[in-house]
Amino acid sequence: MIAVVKTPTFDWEALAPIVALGGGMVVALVLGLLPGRGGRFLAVLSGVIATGIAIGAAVLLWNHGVQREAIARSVVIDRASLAAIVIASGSALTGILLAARAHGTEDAGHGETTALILASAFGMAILASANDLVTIFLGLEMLSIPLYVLCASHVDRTASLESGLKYLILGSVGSATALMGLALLYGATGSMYLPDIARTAGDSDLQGLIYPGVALLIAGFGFKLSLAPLHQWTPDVYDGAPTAVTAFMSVATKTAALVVTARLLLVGLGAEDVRDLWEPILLTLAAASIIIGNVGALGQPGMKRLMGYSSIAQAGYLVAALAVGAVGALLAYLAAYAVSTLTVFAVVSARESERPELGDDISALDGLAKERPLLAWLGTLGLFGLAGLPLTAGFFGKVAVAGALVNADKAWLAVLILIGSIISLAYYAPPVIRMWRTVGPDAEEASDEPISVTSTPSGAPNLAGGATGSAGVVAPVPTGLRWEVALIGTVAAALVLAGGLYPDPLLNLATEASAALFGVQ
Amino acid sequence: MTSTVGTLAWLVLLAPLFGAISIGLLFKQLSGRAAGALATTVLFTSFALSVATLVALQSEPEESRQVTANLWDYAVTAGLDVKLSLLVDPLSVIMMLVVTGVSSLIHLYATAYMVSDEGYNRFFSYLNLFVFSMLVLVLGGNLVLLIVGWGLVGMASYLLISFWYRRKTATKAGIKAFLINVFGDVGIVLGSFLLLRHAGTVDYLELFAKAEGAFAAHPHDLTWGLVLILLGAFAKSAQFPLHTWLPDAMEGPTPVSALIHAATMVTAGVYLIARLHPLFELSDVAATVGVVIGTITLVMAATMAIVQTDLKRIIAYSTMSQIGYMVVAVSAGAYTAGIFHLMTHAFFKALLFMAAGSVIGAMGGVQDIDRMGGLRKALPFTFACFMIGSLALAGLPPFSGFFSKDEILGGLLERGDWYTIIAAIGYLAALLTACYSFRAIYKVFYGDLNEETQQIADGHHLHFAPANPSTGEAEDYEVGFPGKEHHTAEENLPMKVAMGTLAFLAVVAGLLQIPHVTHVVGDFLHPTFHASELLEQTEASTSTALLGMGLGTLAALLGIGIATQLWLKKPGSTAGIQAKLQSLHTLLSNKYYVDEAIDLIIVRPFRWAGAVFERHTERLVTQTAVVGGSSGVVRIASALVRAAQTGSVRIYAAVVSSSTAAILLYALVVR
Repeated sequence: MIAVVKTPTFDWEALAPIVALGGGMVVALVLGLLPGRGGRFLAVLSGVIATGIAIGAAVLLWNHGVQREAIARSVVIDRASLAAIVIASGSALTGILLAARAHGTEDAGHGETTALILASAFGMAILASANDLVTIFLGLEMLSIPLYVLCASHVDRTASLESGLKYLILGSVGSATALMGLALLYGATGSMYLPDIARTAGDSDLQGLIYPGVALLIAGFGFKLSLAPLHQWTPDVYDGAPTAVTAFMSVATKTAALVVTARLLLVGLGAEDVRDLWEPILLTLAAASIIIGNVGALGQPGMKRLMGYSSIAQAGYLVAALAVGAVGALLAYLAAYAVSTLTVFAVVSARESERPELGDDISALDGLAKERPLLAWLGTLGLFGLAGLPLTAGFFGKVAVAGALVNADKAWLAVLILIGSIISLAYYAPPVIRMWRTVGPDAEEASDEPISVTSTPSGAPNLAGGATGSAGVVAPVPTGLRWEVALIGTVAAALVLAGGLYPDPLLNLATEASAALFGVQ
Repeated sequence: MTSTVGTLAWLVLLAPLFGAISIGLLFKQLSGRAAGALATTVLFTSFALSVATLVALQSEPEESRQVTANLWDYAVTAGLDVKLSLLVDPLSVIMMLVVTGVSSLIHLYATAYMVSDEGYNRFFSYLNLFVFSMLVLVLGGNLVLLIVGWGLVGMASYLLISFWYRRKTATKAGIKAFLINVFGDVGIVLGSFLLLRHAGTVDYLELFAKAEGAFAAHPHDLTWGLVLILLGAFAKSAQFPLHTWLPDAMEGPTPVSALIHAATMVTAGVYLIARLHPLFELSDVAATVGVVIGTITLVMAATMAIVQTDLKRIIAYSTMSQIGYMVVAVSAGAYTAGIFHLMTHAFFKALLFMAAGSVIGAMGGVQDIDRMGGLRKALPFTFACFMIGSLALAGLPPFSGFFSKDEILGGLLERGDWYTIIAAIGYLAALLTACYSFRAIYKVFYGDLNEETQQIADGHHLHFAPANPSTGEAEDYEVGFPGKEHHTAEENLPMKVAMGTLAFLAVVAGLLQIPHVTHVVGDFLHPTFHASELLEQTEASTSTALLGMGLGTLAALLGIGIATQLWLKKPGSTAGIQAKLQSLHTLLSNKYYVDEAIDLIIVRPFRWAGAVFERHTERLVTQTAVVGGSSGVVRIASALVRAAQTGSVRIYAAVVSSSTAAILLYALVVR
């Protein structure tokens, strides 16, 4: 018997952003093989072009209000997926630019680094547009595997290797959990497609399979979103990975995972009974993340570790909005979080190359306002945006999330967000203070304990649980300010400010994207 | 964007903001007079745009001369719609013209006057910021923007009073001004809330439209709301008993005194009452409060000015007094007269301050009129300007102050009733005004040269070791006036141009509105006040107008005559009078002990309560239990989270698995 495989229909127009990312990956990999500076330049350039095309195409499709199934019924391009594609491509672009002239990228290979970032972004785009269970898993793996490699890409740094290996081991657990959940869902409903699942998921005689399926799915995606208590990999991996990769993954992974979770839960599993199951779970995880993320970030000596914990707390805010179905608020906050985070990482990366002996240590920011006023402004905007201070996009994002929670009768969580934000100032403000404080010749106060590069901060990454040194760290040579880093940081910071001064467009776009998600049933 | 008028108004507003920010950011790069030139250019641009706005507004038909220009909706939620909108109507346009026009000239003056100051760039950044704030205040189309502008103006004023921030008296004066103004701000916020509560909107035009219906059932809330708003107006306009900061504010550089503490900011209260006139007409009580307080202030300030010996403080008290007239006018319904006086006052008072600044420049920072004398010949231009300003202030025809002050008092006479008494007090104070302005002239410019002024007559400026003029404390050149070099109008063209222009205006501006002859201002303002019934009641008939003008001239001449007798003909004769009326003199020179009264009634009890709470509640409950407790909890939690972060993958994996199991268990068992 010969199986007849029917080729699915491809809607190339709608797929343009995804194709751009995938094509860019191949081109970058090939061009990166050219010897010398030319190869490096072309690899980075193709990455920039690919992400640029992806963003441009996504914006065009958005403007046309595209909402259609692009590959058979498996991939849906709508405004929700386009929003995720724009954010993911934007962070990929940032990641590529931050990596372009960073220490260590040379050893990893520019072609490979760029291609891997694009590959991961490609996976994210697929994940955010996935409309069936298999595509979801495909996207999840396409996103994750390049990241494992990227985390470990600075092979001469033990911390980087540790980070990659740790992420690989724990990430596999997460993926397996999610896969099991997807399998149970298929087993229960007999369908791969979310709209079909939506029709049958509410049946009470399926609960025996659906419920554990939902639980495993939440655990699996909760891991990717670094929700507490599944968060422990986050600070270690963020800390060890190259800064460009951390910047990319902290924003883009969350974006894709959030959009697909929203699609899964709200479109596929939105039936009332099922919703009564996942809503309290998500609310609990959100609350735990807000608490653990915020208190964990206190007093962290390294910016990347600090941002790791901060991203746990931010994931809590985002999932809180998701739990009550407020996708508009979720996307608005997500956009604010994305631009703020990218701004901060641009500053961290810029400082790393200027003060390599300090790396991402918070003390590298001392006196930044004097040396690099631009960077100090960017860092201030980014951190204040994350803290959600007024005049930044983060403020309106938080207002939207808190408002959605109050409207959904979950005011307690809104209060918790507020408390979390208060605590968060205790770790967002110190870097800002360091930037602007004038450091006199004898200002080495007690609080400025000399920090040596070899000291291991509490809970530093380490594989076996025993003590490790960071042997083999060769201090790289400081370089000047890389203009591409300053540029991308300025763009992101401008968006942070714009969203704070004129929030209407941001909120409107988020509402449109949210409407699109519920439009496809 | 809505209309040409709106667009232009936004540009008027944004020009000084641009100046403030760019000077603020480039203060290191700008050298020499660049910052002053930039700030002044920006201001003249803003003034030109204001004129364009005026032209655009006048080309509209009269009934549509109230334009709301909304930039964007900032927050539109249930029960509140705050729009970033400007209200452009004749009232705001005339304020805009006065603010940008006088500010431009003062900026021009300051480019030369402040040139030796170490903080030249900082000064102009602040000055531009102030103009921006003031424009937000007068152009804002709703109560929220008003509050924003009100607060910003207070901040800019604070920054400029404390401009020489290492001078203790200056920072103290700044803090005092700021605190009293914040007290008023609170009044405005609470008052606005009461208005919002019943009318449901903060937009002026909607508020006026809805007010009568909305407050019919709640007249007391309206009264309280307006009285609270008046509190803000009194604080900003230095009306009794919230006036004590204004004399102290003279610690700021002289251009600041001219701009903020004479021509613009202190008239904000007058503007506010005029802006909210449809509401005040609904509440007799609030309007009466305005009239009474204005009257008290105008007399009180005039009497205090007579015994002052500090040149700038004399002018400061006269400012208080003149604003008293304006407050009375706008509270009694004579809106046109009030705004007209606001405008002419801006011209002649700014002029007086500039002339005073020039005198102080020649005197090397000395402000004590007892040390001056005979400067008429040495500083001819300054003298001419000071004379014109004083004649306008004294209200002698045909100078501008005559017509504007007279229109106020004539309006009061026309309203009759108890307003006649207020008018009588007004004429009495006019006499005092003429008297103290000429006292200053005679003491500064007439009489014999003394040892110090002889040097000025010989063509030198006085120079002293830098010291605080009020305490005599030694200082260095970075701190106070006027840097190493001192400046007078005689040798600086920009100062001359600015003062000359204002002198011209101080002479002729009155001709715009001569009773029963011209009524340019009245016609122009008509669209804003067209619905007012009170305004008509205060339009003086021919006989009243003539009577008023006669009385006004008489009062001015009498005042000048007394001054001539006392300080020109028989200098020194005042010592005898002073000895006879020692207690009165003590009362006046101690400024009626209002400072002391405020200290006793407000400052001390609060300080005492603060100390008690600090000792008991704050340290034990707040610091130890609340702050210590909550931060302790967070700290412990933080330690726990970090302790859990061992770095071991095995433990991490175990946590992930067990968390997954827990969620699974919940799904299977609990549900």
